Amino acid sequence: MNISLRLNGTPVDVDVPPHWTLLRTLRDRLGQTDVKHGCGEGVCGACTVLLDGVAVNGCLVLAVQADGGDIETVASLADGDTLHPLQQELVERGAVQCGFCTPGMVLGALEATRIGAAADRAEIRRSLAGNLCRCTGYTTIVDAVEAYQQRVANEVSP
Amino acid sequence: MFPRPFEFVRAGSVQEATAILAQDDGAKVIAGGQSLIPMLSLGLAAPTCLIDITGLELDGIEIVDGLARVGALTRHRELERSAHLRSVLPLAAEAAAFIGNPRVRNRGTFGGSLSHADPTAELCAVALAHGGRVVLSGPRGERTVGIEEFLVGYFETAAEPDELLVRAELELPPAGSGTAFIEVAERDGDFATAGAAAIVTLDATGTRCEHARVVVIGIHGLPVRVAEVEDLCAGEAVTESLFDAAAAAVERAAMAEDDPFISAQHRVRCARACTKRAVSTAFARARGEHP
Repeated sequence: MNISLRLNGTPVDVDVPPHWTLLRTLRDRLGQTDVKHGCGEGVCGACTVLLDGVAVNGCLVLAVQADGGDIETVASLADGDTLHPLQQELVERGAVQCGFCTPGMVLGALEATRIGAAADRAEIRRSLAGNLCRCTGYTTIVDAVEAYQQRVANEVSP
Repeated sequence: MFPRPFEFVRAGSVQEATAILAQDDGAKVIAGGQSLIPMLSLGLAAPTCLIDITGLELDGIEIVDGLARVGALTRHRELERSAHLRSVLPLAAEAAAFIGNPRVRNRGTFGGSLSHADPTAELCAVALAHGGRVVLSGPRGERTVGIEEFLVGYFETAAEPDELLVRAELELPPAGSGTAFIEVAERDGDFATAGAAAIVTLDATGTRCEHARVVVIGIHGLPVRVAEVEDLCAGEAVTESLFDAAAAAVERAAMAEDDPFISAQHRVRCARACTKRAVSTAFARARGEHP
């Protein structure tokens, strides 16, 4: 089936079988390998993308169900060589080791910050549930999201 | 770890969806897909055709005649985060926060959860605790089925193969009621080991229980109301010993079985603890003592 997406700001048309997930389509048809294939069953969060601004597991959405949608992946965040402020916070705190979970962590944390679901450490931990990291022990990731959330809060109400 | 091929149809209407279901034995409905797509990927389901109903106007909640009409496409995340829904259906809001993880809740739907009838489904427990009915639409028109009749057993409902659940109509508890949902899982966000949902109503004195509805997860093939707990609460003074009696009654009602990961004994112990906490918290909330 032919579907139309807006992928990181660029309109794309792609012919994809109905049984292909959004994850498979992004990686294998559209070369978007920043979207990671981890568990493939909605447990690890590595394939998180924003679909119309809403965080979803790419492995749990059929590509045909995303037809007409606006997809944002982690690759859309950096401005040239300048990382997104949340990415920068992660780097500065050693919150990235192997990096496989990082795209999902970043997008999940961005959504949580946008919708006001990251007000304190407990909320940040809840909002990152289902993003599995096997390296860092999570503490530095939560630190980075907390720092980013405070930065955003200060910008909104200086 | 990839689904096998199937046809895909975007339903333009409920009638179109149920007409395809009636014609094609291999057709299944997909909405949020947060249980179905993993089942496809794991090879646990292999429909020949998926009918996508997410384009239909079946979402949203309205209050009509003391019933909360919950559209089939209402997402868990909306139950969890909408301030309005949190005030109207606080039990559903509390339970929804236990489902999967935020990304699953962004997609998963109320109708999908009821129709899937997973033995640990939080929203099946919520629907049973409220009581009420579901509205099923099929080629022969609409019919309503009581929620307890609808939830037949382990992954089984009373919906015919050509019927689509279009909404649930949940009874709202009277003023002076309190609700609570408690769940434990082996890992955060995993399927529940056990859980309990309670809706309790105090009498005019505010010290005795007038009415209680208690649903327990983990002691049966589906969440179940435990009549003995409800009966022993009715008319009783609200004390710690009542909560202990409720927990003991859950153990007597339990028909849990061992599975490869969790023993029946562990599930029942968790169910007892969840019930005690859910009932005591619901009473405290009814008295305005507990957030």
